Amino acid sequence: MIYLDHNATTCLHPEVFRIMEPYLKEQFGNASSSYRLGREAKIALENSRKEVAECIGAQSHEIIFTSGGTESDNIAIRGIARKLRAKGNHIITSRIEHHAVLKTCEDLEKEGFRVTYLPVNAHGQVDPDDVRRHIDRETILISIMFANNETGVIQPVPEIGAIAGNEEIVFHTDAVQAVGKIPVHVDTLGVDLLSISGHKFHGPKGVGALYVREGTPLVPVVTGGHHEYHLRAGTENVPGIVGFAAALSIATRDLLMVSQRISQLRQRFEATIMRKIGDVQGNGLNAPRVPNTSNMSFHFVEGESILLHLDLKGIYASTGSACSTGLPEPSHVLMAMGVPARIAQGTIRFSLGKDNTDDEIEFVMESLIEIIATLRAISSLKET
Amino acid sequence: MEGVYFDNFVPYKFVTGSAIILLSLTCRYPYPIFTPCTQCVSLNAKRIQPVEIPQWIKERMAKKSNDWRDLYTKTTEDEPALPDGPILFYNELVIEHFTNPRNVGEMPGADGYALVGDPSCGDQMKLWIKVNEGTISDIKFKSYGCPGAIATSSMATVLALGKTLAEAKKLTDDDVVLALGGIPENKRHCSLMGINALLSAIQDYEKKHAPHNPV
Repeated sequence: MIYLDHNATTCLHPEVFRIMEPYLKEQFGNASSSYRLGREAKIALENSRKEVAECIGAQSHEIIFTSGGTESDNIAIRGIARKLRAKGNHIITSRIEHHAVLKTCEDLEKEGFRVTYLPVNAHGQVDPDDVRRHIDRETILISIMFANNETGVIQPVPEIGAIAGNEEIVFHTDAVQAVGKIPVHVDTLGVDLLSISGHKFHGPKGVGALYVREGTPLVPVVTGGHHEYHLRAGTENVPGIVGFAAALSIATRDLLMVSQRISQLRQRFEATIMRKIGDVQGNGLNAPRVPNTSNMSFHFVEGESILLHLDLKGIYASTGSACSTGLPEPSHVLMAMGVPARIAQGTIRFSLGKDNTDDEIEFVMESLIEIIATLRAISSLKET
Repeated sequence: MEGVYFDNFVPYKFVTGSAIILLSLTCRYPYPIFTPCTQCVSLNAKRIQPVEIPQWIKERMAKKSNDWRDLYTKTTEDEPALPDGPILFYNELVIEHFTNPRNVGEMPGADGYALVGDPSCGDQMKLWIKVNEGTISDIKFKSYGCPGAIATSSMATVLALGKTLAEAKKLTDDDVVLALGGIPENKRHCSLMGINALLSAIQDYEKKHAPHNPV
């Protein structure tokens, strides 16, 4: 098996599993209980909070644990929108956000909010000037992702953070695809809210965090208890949180080493593919990207067909678009970048991880050359 | 699903049950179960092990129907049918047709040609037919699309080859899906493309040839 879909999810780090294990077994206490077992769970919880905070340059009490990136995005956007409704009803986001943000904003539109979906340039980046231009007196929230999940393109978050800071508008960033891949520091970025997901950096699934800068007005979306500073009710997922913190620490510790190696692998992969297979385009290639993501469009062939061929060879990657009942669904990210639908449909996202080896990438390149040739031989779009 | 395949009168069990239907459709013998033609053998299906002849096949043998559609009619309980419930993934036969599509290519000087697209997902197919005495004697296609589109294109050509134009015109997308042993629900629309291409190519042929050489 060659796993090249690390932007979808990652395997659990064995060390993380070892750290989590006692909390799945004997240390099962509820962190709200006052007896010793509960106190130990509480200590583990607070230590994890501190660990996470240190990794992103925050303070402990600014971290709330959630069930993952999607919930973090929901708490951030809905929480601010509800709290600041009296102040204004305008939200600025972009067209390339993850659906966790886009669908939440669309939902808020039904509740009467105005949402501006900013375009991106051909490299897949939002223009900070565009953000500034669209701010009006009603604007209460800006939500722009840090790194895009499909292309890996890094958005000018620090610039937007500075603009938001000057205008005193709450700024949220979905950093799910950035944390663990590139350095993330909340003060450098100038963000008020930042979403993180554990399973993207070899942590467990179903656990994430939301950074909430001290003083950021937020009302809870999930009510029912005092947990997580009254911002997210529900018994804390202690084993998950412990694993999440451990995974983040390990990823942060190894970040430079891993990212350097992976970006070299990707460099070789992309250069070889472009040289040996004609009519290929790399999306977001000329923008700053997280080091692991490669988004390639192969002309005259369809993405899902490439994926199935790769699958049959034991190679796992993903496609942004899928042909399904009556709905043409080319990736909204590529469409926003101005990639024609036909080309977007032949797009594969390869996302590398710390465990990928040179030999694996070699095999993937060889396989890909063969697969594209096979599919082009039967393609009605390719003139012979 | 399981099926039985007779090679040289020795029954073999198939991985995919639809193979039995496939065999019956792809050769011109009325009883492919007894006597597979060379075309059947060249399908290169996976043999697993010799098996006992199931009751339902024995009954079907006794029935001796001339219509291949009868093979679809369930007569006994142990007879394989399309799987119950929603189909979530491509089955092995679909994947086999996808990786090894039949009748791929172009045909210079074809009698009928069609270029069709599936507007719902952007898939596209070109199909060429050669007609000999009212029968589709050769067929070639090229497709752009997902695995479902390629496999159903391939199966549509397999079903059409060797049929008279009148028979071929009766083929439906259901026949293609059934011959493939089912296809995920959200990919069903793909199966229309092959049939549309086939019908358009026949139409093209008839338009060109009708006045001079009525079929």
